[in-house]
Amino acid sequence: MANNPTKIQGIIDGRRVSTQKLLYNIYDKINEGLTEFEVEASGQHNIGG
Amino acid sequence: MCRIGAIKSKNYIHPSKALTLMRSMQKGHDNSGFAMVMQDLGGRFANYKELPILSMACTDEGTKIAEDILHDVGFSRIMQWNPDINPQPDLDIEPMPDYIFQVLHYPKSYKYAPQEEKEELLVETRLRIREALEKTDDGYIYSLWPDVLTLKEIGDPTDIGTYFNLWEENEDFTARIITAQCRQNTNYDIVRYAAHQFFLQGYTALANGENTFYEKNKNIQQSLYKGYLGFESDSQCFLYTLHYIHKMLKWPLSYYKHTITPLPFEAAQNREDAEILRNIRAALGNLEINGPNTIIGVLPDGTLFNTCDAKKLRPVVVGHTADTAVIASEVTGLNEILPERDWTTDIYTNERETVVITNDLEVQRLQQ
Amino acid sequence: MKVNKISRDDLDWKIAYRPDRCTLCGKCVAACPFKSIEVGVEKRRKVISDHFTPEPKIEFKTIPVIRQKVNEYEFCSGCGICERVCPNEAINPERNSDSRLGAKYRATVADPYKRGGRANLSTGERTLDKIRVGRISQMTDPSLDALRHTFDMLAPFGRVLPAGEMPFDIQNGKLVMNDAPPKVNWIYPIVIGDMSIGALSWRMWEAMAIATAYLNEECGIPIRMCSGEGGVPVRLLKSKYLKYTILQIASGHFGWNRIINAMPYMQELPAGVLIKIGQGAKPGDGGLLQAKKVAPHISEIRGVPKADLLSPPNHQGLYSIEESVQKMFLSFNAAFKFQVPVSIKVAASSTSVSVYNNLLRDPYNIVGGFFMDGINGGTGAANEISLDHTGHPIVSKLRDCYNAAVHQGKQGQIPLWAGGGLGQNWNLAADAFKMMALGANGVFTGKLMLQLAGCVGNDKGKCNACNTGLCPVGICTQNPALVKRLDIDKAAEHIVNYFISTDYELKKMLAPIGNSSLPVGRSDCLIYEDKAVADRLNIQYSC
Repeated sequence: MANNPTKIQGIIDGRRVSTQKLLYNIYDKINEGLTEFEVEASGQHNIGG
Repeated sequence: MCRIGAIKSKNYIHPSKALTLMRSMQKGHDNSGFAMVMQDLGGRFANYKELPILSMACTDEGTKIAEDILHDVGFSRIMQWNPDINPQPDLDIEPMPDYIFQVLHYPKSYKYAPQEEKEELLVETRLRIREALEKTDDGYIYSLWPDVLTLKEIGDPTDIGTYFNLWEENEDFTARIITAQCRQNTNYDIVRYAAHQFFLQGYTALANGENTFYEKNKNIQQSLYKGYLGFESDSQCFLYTLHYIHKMLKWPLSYYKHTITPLPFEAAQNREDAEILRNIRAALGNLEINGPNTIIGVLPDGTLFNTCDAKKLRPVVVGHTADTAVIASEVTGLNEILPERDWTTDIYTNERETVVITNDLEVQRLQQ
Repeated sequence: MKVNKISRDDLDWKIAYRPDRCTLCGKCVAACPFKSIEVGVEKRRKVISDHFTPEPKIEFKTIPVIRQKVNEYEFCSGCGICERVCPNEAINPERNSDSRLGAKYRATVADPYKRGGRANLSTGERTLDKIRVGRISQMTDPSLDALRHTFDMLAPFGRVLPAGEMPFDIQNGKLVMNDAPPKVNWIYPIVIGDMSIGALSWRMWEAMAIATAYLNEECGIPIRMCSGEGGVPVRLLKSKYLKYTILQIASGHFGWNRIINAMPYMQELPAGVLIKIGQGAKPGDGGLLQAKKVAPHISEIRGVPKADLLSPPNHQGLYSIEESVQKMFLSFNAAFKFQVPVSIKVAASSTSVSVYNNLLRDPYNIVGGFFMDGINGGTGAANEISLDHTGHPIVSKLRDCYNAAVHQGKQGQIPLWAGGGLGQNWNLAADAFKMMALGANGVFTGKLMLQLAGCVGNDKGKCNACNTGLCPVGICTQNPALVKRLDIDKAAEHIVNYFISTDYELKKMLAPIGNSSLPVGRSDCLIYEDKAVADRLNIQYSC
């Protein structure tokens, strides 16, 4: 797992994902038991990118 | 006070039926006016189902104003019908010089236009004519819509019937749905636009009673759609909300009741659809109504319905036979035109239901 | 004679003392928290005769008396505690209309005069009291029976989507949810708050929390209480009663360490989060808790040392309205995974409409309410100059904001809550009703709760010593001896009883206009007897 963090995209289909949606995507993965993330953010709040 | 009535039949019926329906309820209104909307037309209009019909009452100058605008937009006239009038010196009526019922062709450029575009064009054109007529006080445009005729007049309903020769039944001037109302707006100035029924894009509403949430409703409605204007009567709000829920939001009719008279929070919270109801109440709290009233509505597809305020402060009764259904403020009206019906099946709409009459005359009672 | 020295006649209050009634029990001196009175001795000349024929003799005696202290630090605040404890009606403070304290204090101390309470300069007739409910349902729309009719009195706290944006699908002729809309909590249209532990004694705060829980659990009045800035006892954070509490965050962020640490242990989500930007009593100022009130438990709950605790006038992360929406709202929405509505509280200002207009755009659907606080709001400590000379009345500004929302067709989407001096004339129901009719979704009340608990201060300069840490009734102090004066249960009981009457009185207002639900936006039922005000508020002018 450590070598293979879950990817979360800040831009999907050319559109910036809202902070809320992006956080939801992370929550969903956390609920699946995942703990390591690589977020390709696009200025989402508190995340950066 | 006001009395309202509606007839929906599998057969074409003549306005004299509506006059008869209203006559026996006279003690409940003040003989100040008569208005009717005829939908799903027969007689001479039967062959023009798809084409818009202009209904207006105006001066000669008003006729010209309207025709200029219609011409400018590209409408062309196919057929015009003017009622034979029967003026007599002792009639209590304040007639307008001209009554115009005109069947029109859409502008050529709209030949392949989608339905919605045509519908918007009709509203825009009607509003344009209305504005122009208001400027010079040359008349009133009541409807511009396919398969719909509107007549509104000030005076004694019986005399208005006599004036327009509506007591004499004929096959020329008929419809499958007629809604009628006998009273001018007497709370305030008598303005023809303030008289029920109110009509917008195939939706008709008329009410008996009062809407004390008028200001609240109006404040939100005027920004929801360009056709929501006038507000000469607090009952117009009933129509605009109906149009908004059913036409703009495309929600099923049952949500009209949930919007205008939401269930108390306590009653709603244990239901399966509690979340939906809560969200409707949050989003549309400004469309809630209040005060005593009963509302009769007609949808563009011909569905007729009735619903009441949540405190059940205005009576209404629905009766029917195999081919005709009638809604009226008082049962005397029903007895007058449907004497043969089984009165034990009459429905006195309760405060939490919507009584719906479908096109095949099935009577449904939707509990909120 | 030293003419520059402060004299008794310079003070706001003079102690009226009647030695002939005094038994020298000492209760008044012991009870005065300001040490404004002391025991002293006076020399008295008396003519007596102890013979059966008159033989007047002059006798000088030294007698013990109660005396007022005359200096710039221990002046009498007029609280009247001495009078309350005196068994013999021997002592009471009397208002001195010739007071020059405001000048003397500043001239001596070289520091702004600070106090608590409300704006005291103009306490004449209030606009709200001259608004009447003039539209009475009688003929066509009958009045309701306030006692027997079921009223539906809940207000939304949270971001309300317009119908067209609701995540609805239609399945088999029914609407179904296809996503979650922003969280909206339906609550009683009056919020208690927002006064911190720190400004208030823990007993007072606890009394309000108890009253809130009782009203919810036992009286069916789903009222919420806002914590104020300064933290919440961990016991409450971890209890099921947290659901009745709106957590406040202000610019000092006091108490949030504890709140965040308690999150994993919360059984219930809080009722909401209120971001405090400003308050009506001292707009432009941050909170001010003077060091004398920072007792050990306050240090602990706020996570700070004993010092003057000044919340900055501004939030650090906020430099524009857009910034506030995106950053602060997002942070707090995200903190509770978007399950707790987040609202904002500002001081009413000439510019409130612009702020509200900006918030109304809210593209992320995360602004759950706009709380506006007027100039008559109370505070535990402020510079008097702020209290008396800055701020904006709430009535017209609330109306302006509502009208601005109507103009955009967005009324109700970001609920409006108004406060600041409501219940000032002891009738909160009337004020609440009128504010709602003018467009508020609900109102909030603070100072009135203290007055219900036993606060002796008023808006004419009586007591107003909340800032000193010496509250004579144990409400605004952390001094253990003074705090003990407050009976928690009695305070809670009075608040509960008050809301039971308020609830009924609200119905008594709804009934004559025939309303079953809250009268939000029903300005058609209001009249006013002054043309200029009626025009300003766009309600009917009547005479």
